[in-house]
Amino acid sequence: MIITLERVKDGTEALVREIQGGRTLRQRLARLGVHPGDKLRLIRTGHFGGPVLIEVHGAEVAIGCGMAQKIVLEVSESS
Amino acid sequence: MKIALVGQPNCGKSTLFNSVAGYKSIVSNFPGTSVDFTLSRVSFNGESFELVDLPGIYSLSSSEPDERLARDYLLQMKPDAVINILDASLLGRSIELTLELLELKIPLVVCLNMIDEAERKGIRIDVRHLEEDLGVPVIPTIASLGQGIPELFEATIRTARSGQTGKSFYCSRDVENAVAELTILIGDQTAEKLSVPGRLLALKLLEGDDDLERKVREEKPDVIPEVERLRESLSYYRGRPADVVLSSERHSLALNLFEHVAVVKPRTKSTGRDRIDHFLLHPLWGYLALGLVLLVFFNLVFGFGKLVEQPLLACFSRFSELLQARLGQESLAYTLVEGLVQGFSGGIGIVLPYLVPFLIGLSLLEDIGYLPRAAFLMDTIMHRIGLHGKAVIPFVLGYGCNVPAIMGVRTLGSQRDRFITAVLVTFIPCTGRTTIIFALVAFYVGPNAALFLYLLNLVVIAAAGKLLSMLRPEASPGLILEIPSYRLPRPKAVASKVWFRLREFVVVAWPILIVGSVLLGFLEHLHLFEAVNRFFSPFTSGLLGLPEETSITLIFGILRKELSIIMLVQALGTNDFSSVLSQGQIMVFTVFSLFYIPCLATLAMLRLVVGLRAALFTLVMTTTVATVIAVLFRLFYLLVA
Repeated sequence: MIITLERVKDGTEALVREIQGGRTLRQRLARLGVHPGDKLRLIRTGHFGGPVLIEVHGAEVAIGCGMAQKIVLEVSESS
Repeated sequence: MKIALVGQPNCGKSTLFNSVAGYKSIVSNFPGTSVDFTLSRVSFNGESFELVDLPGIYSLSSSEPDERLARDYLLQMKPDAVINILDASLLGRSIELTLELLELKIPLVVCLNMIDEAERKGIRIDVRHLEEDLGVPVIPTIASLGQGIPELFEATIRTARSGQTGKSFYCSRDVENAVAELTILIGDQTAEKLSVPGRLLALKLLEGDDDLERKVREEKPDVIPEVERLRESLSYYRGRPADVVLSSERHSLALNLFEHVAVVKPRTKSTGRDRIDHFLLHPLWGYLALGLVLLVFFNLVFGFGKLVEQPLLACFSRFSELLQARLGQESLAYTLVEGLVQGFSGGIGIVLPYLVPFLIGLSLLEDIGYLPRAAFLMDTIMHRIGLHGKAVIPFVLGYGCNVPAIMGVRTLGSQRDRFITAVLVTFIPCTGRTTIIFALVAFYVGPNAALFLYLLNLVVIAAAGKLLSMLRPEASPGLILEIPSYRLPRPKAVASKVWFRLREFVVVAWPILIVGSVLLGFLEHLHLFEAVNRFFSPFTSGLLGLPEETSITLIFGILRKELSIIMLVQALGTNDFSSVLSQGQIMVFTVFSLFYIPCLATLAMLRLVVGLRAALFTLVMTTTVATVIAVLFRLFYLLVA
């Protein structure tokens, strides 16, 4: 299933399929370890348009809602 | 010998620096606090060297100011060795920076810090294996406990002597071909002239580094079209932009290396951190907890301050009376000495009781790791005023002192966010302005009126934020922030941070306070106040309806906010303000003090961080806002009375 980051449920594990943004956004995410192909786990969905909290490569990273909308994930059907 | 410390934000770099350098650098558990680098002379085993603490960086690119600063330092100052500190519990991610540092061809030592935390997370690292793979010494440490530090510096000095620079890591064939071609095109001479190793330069140009591209364009403009051609061909064959190709290559090299040297036990049940965060980041409990934290925090600080302030001030006023009796009220000597005492006691009696507990509390919150969580919670609300969650940190800092708050603005991603946040921070009532609110409004009008002023202040900040984001409509890049593990604050780290921030007040502001106070006493002795007051009279008494004697106090408030209240005693000739000022006048005076021109130190910092234009803009904006609100208050009291 293809879905953007701000719409997945708590606890979902997924692969980053694409980052739909310019070079600046890609680089800012890459700095904190989010690259296409990486596995991440959603710890907490954003509430009231707030940021989402994810775990990626052992670190926890908060990502604003606007940015999360640009991160396309691939969630396997079984989970 | 020069040794530089390089590492990602929050890897314990500053803790390590402090453990050997003493109270020089500022440590914190908020990513990106040490924005300027700090250096210190260190002797170790009879060897003396200069240790430089560079800002925390995630990579060697140039898009963030911190990263550019660190990179420029490494390239231009050419330290004899670099200590690359890694958070061992985040090895897979941290090692990407190591791969870039290896390309600098500077003797390198890897410090695997927080090795205990990695073990707690179930990550076992084969240090010897990692050493072999990287070709540089790898030393495991626990900087907060001082473990492994002697071994680290021994290895560093040895490496600096031997000049061991480690291995290069090679990307896929197509990328390496492009790098090789570009290295030849650039030529050794140009690379040397820019003091960037050829291979690193080629890699960075392919990745699209604006800063290096500009420099190469100046030196050898004909290379640029070739760079563009190579980039295009890379992205054509790989089906993704060249910068993604390069960063993915580095990323997969890092992950391979990580898998080669580390064993990760699968995640067991939820950890203590998860449970705490489940509560502290909860959409309901989280906000309640945040409110409670702030409530307890401010109550403790001001409770303590009040307890200490009264007896201290009483002590000083008894001393003044003694002086007056000894020297005679009209003598010049008395005027000068009294000014000295006033300035001195102003520092000790008003600011230190509030500033010290505030800074200790703030450092504790910072080191525990609560501030990034506050940023997480506040993101939605900050969005309403055109900013994002990270900006809440400077705001909270601003309640202590606007100066460190404006320094903290540097951690924000875009120039726009830095500008808006810095300007808004100058509206936050710092301890100085808080003193005025408490001493005047809370004391003479009532605590609820004081609370009302704080709320009004927030409303004004929100409105100003809205207005400023309309002036700078570019979208804020949004929040992206690492939420670090909770850590036990170390007394030494807290103490050094408190001292670092306090020093600014003691060294810069306090002398100004004392000199200003003496100067004011002197002016008074010469009866020059009246001239100044008369000059500003149309504004202060005409527009604001205050006694014209208050003009001089407001002018001194620009030196330091709390001077306004100290000088008010002198200017009005009484300690009991209600005998000379009506409630309305007290409110108008306080409101004006709350919003008008920030103090000199803040203005200087604004100029430094966001530029002269921003500082001038702030000057005009704050004066206008203060005047408008003060006049509204005057009208309100005129109507009520």
